[in-house]
Amino acid sequence: MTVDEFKKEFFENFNKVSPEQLVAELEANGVEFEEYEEELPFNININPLPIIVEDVYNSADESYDYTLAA
Amino acid sequence: MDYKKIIGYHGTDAKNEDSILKNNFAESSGKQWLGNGVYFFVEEILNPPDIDAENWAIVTSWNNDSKINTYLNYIVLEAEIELNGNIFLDLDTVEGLEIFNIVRSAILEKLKIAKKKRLKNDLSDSAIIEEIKKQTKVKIIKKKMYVKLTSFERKNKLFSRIPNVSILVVSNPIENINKHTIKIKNKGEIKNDS
Repeated sequence: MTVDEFKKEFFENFNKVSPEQLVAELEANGVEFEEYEEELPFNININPLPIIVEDVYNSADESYDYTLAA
Repeated sequence: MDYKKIIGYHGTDAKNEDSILKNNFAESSGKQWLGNGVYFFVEEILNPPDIDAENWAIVTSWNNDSKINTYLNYIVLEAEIELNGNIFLDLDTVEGLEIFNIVRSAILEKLKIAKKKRLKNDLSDSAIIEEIKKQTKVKIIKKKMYVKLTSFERKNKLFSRIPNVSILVVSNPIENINKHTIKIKNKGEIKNDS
């Protein structure tokens, strides 16, 4: 069986299957689903994690990598 | 590799002997590696496939919950399986893998549309194979895989993506396995320390 022969036979039938039918078929074959929650749009007001730079500048350690504070 | 027919070996509880020889094999269902069907070891990788079937029959006797062997006598049966026309899908070939991946992608695309539900765990290979069989004439699948064939491997829950056996799974055995080709290859007793 060639890939093209397979695709022709498979999609002739698979295209008739609705997404809901497919979910039901997969569930019958042991695949588990859960209800899908719509994701909230990205919230630009979320506070970013604070970048603590104080310790860097107060450090007496000359070898401290100051680029970390950038 | 082109196949016309292949010899497969199936290891099981010896009490199934009469029923299989009289009525043919019974299809396993539920959560299987490669979908529902009768599982055979075929082709040699590390051991001859009849030895793989024997080792399988021995290790699967052990019930880890009850800590006992569920049967003490096993049997290895041999059968000739014809791989005619479009009923055979060889997942050890590039074409076979392309077919599998085309179907997986098509399923995932359709699941994106079914917005109210999403996969809780994983889209199992077994479920994809069942969809292939449902929508086409494919009824026999071959795939090399890793199977734990010793109690040590099972106790240590080993996992590997590198195959040690070659598996053939046959759906609808009454139609796809000629019962007159089924014969006993080996019988044995399971010792309690197996």
